[in-house]
Amino acid sequence: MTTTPADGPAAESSSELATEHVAMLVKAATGGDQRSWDELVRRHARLVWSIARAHGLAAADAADVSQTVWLRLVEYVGTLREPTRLPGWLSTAARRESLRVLHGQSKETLDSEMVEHMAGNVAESPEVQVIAADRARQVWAALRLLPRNCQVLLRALAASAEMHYAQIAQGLNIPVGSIGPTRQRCIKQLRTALASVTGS
Amino acid sequence: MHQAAENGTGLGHRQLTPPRRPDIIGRDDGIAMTTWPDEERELLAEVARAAELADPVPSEVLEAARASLTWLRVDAELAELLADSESASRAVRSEQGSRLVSFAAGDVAIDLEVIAAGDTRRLVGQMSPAGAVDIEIRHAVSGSATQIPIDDLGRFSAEGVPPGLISLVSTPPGAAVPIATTWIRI
Repeated sequence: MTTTPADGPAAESSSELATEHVAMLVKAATGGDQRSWDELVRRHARLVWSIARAHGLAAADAADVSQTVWLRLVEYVGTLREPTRLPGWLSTAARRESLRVLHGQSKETLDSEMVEHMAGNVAESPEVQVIAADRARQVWAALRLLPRNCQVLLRALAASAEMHYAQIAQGLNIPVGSIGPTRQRCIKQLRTALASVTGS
Repeated sequence: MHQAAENGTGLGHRQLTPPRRPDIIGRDDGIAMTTWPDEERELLAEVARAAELADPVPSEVLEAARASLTWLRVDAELAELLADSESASRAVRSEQGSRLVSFAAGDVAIDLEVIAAGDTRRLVGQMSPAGAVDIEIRHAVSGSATQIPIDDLGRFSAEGVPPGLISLVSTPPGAAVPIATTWIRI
């Protein structure tokens, strides 16, 4: 069973086994196997969600994007030529749907919503976690200072495994030749923003 | 991994590599993957932790994603979206006008008019060639599937369809398999 809570980015080992496993899960899901599908969702739901949210969508719109993307995958799962490129496929779909929704709406409700959510979580936390939460709040605040494309890239990368970095970047429409430099530039901007947020 | 080739003369052949070039650990579909510096990896891990705290995936979003598989139709042929008068689906909600959507799978076409009627939608459509007996409206949010009769000219209509993602499924006359339209948000 797959009841473990979502793991960090390092949870999926960057081994060939993991890659082959994804292909097996996709194949089984194509035949209607719910447990394999659930595992695919568990591994990739955060990637889809993060891309939608980093585009500036409110929670309800990001939920719409997520549902559309997963339904699209149900349509296309049987025709995926390279199952191991699923993270890239999902990134492309999430980006497209996010832009589609973004073009049809007028106002952002993201900021206040997220601040509230953060405050709620922090209030419930024991003292040790408050310190961690303070750091997380700083990282979050710094992230929100970045240009949109950096927010999308960094959140997508953080929500996935390092081995999928190239295909996710491609899925986010970053030209192959500038994938590395773009990541480094965004990381550098995050460091600078973090320094200004923490006052160091 | 790069490995220095042995030249067979007994002399170790030391490969010249640029000093700051990261190790290549594998390939991801034609693109060389490089290892990230530890401090980059650590920073991304912090972004992941911050996102988990500030903006976790809501449980209902996970639940909807898991439930999507129930709509898998391995037997059906996909009817792609050919045209949509509202590329931004949201726009139709704020207007009273109707939206025209076309799907096609091979020689089979489904044209659909979506008319906003208060909190719900009225659907008026035509499938060609005519001859199918009925068409199913699948509604992702409610999880419902409703059979609607098709008349001799291929026309069908449905009232009171709630907003959300829908897909239509029907078996064209003489066809071995049904066609299922791609999902659209109405």
